[in-house]
Amino acid sequence: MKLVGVCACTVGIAHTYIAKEKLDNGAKKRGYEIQVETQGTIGTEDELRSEDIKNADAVILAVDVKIAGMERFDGKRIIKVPTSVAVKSPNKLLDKVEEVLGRS
Amino acid sequence: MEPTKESYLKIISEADIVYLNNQEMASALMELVKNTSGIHASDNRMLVKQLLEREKQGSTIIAPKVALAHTKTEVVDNLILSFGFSKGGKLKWAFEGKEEVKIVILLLFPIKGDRCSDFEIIKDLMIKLANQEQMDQMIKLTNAQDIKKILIGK
Repeated sequence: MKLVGVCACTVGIAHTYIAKEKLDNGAKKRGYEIQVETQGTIGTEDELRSEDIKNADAVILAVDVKIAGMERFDGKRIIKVPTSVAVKSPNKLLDKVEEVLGRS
Repeated sequence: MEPTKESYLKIISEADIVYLNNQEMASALMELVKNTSGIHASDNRMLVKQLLEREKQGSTIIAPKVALAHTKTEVVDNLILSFGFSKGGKLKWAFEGKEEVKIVILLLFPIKGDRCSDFEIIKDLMIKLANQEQMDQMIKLTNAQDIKKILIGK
């Protein structure tokens, strides 16, 4: 499975980066390919490439605020949750992604 | 620039380990803020208010028994990091409900902060805090110095 994601929290210094790590680690443990962009106080990092978005089976948005570049995901299957879900329950979130994609 | 152990040590000084009781969130935050170096006493109330405002937007519990109280604020000029430790582990960390924590990490980021070294320290710390095994190990510790070693360890 190929996934892309964006993480962004209200303050932009904590949950954004923890959520990215949790998604990266959780997805890789399942053997998925994943690219996660962060939009935090540092600015945008690990910006998603259009090719990665195009090839992704789903987009995970772990966000508490409005993010830049939503139009990049037009037509894609999007799973949107607060950052706290990715931080506290990354496995449940990935289970949900599998369910949405009909792969559970 | 990769943060070094020394760069963390400058931030978490010996004085910045705060021993907390099994108290309520607001009073624990005040205790933590009062005992963290680099914060002017006249700013304590404002900081606690800002931290509680952030908490209202969503719980800052990031792992079982671990909370990360944080805010961007105009009252500090430098990145500030400290932590509080409640041996009892029954520090109430919720406006409602029964969530309890043992360790409260305090992270204050200057609103005009733009130092690369501070950004790198934050990212490095968040990677540690996202490591479930390390968090599970940290929460079993009964000595604040050992907790500090995990937070600053490379």
